[in-house]
Amino acid sequence: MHDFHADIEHITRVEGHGNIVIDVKGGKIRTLRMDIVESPRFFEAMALGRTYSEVAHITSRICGICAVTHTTTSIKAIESALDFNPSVQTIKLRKLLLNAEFIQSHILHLYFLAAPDFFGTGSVFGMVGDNKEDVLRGMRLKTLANELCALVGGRHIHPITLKIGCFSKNPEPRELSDFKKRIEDSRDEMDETVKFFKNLKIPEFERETEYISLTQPDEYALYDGKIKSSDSGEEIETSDYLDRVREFMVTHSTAKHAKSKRDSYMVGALARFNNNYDQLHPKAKESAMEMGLRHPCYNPYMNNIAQVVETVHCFEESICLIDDLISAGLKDEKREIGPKKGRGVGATEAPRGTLYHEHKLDETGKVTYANYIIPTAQNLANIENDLLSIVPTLLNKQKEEIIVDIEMLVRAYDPCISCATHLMKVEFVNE
Amino acid sequence: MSENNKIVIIGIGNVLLMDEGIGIHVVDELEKHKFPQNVTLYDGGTGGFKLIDLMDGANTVFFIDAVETGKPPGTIITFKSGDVRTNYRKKRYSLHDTDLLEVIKMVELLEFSPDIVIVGVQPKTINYGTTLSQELKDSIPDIINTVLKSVEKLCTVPSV
Repeated sequence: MHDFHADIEHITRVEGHGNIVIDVKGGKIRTLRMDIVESPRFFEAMALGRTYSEVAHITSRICGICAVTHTTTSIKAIESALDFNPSVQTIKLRKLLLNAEFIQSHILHLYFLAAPDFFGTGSVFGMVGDNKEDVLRGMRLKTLANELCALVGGRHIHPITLKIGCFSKNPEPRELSDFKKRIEDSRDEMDETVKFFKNLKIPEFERETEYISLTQPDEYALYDGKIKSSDSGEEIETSDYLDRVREFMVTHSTAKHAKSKRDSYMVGALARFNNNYDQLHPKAKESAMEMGLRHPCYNPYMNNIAQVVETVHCFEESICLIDDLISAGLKDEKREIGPKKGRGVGATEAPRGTLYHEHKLDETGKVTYANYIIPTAQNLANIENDLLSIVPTLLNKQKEEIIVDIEMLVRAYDPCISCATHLMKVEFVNE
Repeated sequence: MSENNKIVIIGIGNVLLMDEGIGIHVVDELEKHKFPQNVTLYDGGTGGFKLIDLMDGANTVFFIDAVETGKPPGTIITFKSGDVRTNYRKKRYSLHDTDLLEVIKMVELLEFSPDIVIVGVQPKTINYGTTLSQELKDSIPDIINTVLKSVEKLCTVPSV
């Protein structure tokens, strides 16, 4: 097919956003553009003038799926501005909560969004017929992670116990101990998950790019770390994030794109896998091997498999964190901190990539500057470059097949779109 | 009152988008009322498929949400999922792009569906901001009344 045009549906509920347009004439790409993310600039504006203790409540509402990451990152930026270092206990509780969010987010994406592509069912609803047990397994794992989130975060949607410098309420050691057993008992379900995804045929495509993630010498960095680029291996402090994340405007998108050393880079599970393979739990490495994910991997479709690997890692890591918390004993750490003038940056790995929040506070603790850079905005330029590379190789296929391959590629990035709105429009049957 | 009749009330929406967050504002107000033990209130935010876990074991679930019906702002429309035409878009790019009817559809497919009632409120303004439009602020007492009456009906043992 030398000529090909696809205007792949409106994919968010915000009108005027969310199309992928591809136009090929005579085998050459004339147009390829994509715009599927809401700019966080309006949320930044909402933070201005607020007291430092209010900000995390606002940022937790930016996204219902990554609420723990937004809240944690916001609090870390504020603590940095206040020159406050949280206790080991608080950091471990935050890590446990973050692991729970990774498990629930990855499982939902894998079973509800990615898997249906491989069964040709179009959506998870179509999978329920022939693969009901698989969908139910996904549901059970999601529920487990949600309940862990509720145990540590007070509730599983927009958690409320995360505070500056502490948790407003600690889980009881007995509750943690009981939960550890539930995670251990669910290892079989994770093994089944690995088998399930091992059997899916991931499209073959490779395009090496720059991979950026947080990194730590002694752990698989999710909660904190320096910013690492795969291009040089260089690691920089999160406070210097703008030296690594260079945002730029493009004419076809309301969202800023980002680049670093090249014209695009990738964040998310595959980037973390490539940058931090050595720090993965041995069981997670075994699962990668079993599913055919070799380090390093340059196939963006394998981001799905990297998510399965990370889910295995988060299972094991949660068990270790619970053990540590119980053996150290949980103390009430509630406290008031600040206000103080300062600038702080927080960086945390969200399930779909590195999230940055920067805040500046005045003497009274009011926010005078806010900057939030979300993972999907960082991935947009890289997705476009992947599409530019893959589309010419697909032109011998039927249009419908090309569109499926393109959609699968975009979905593999697990993009965060339209977090902000879910408005239901209804038309009544009897009207 | 039947204590075994588990009733769940979930307000959903985004409080950063003005009227889109009406469900959360209503649940905040409902928290000030005293409910029997078999009634649980939740702030469901923009939980998408996470909402399924809040419905576990419930006999009846009330969702309070902003609903676009083309009627005047503040109009309250109570309906069940079967009352509306559904047009599930087959392709999804993101979990963030899930609406309530899809969550309900999933629960129905998995055959543990409670009786689900949606108390929809027509929004006036959906834009970045944390306040409600005056019309929706004014509608809160009526929304609460609608929910309380429905719950009261379910909690009353029919006279013999």
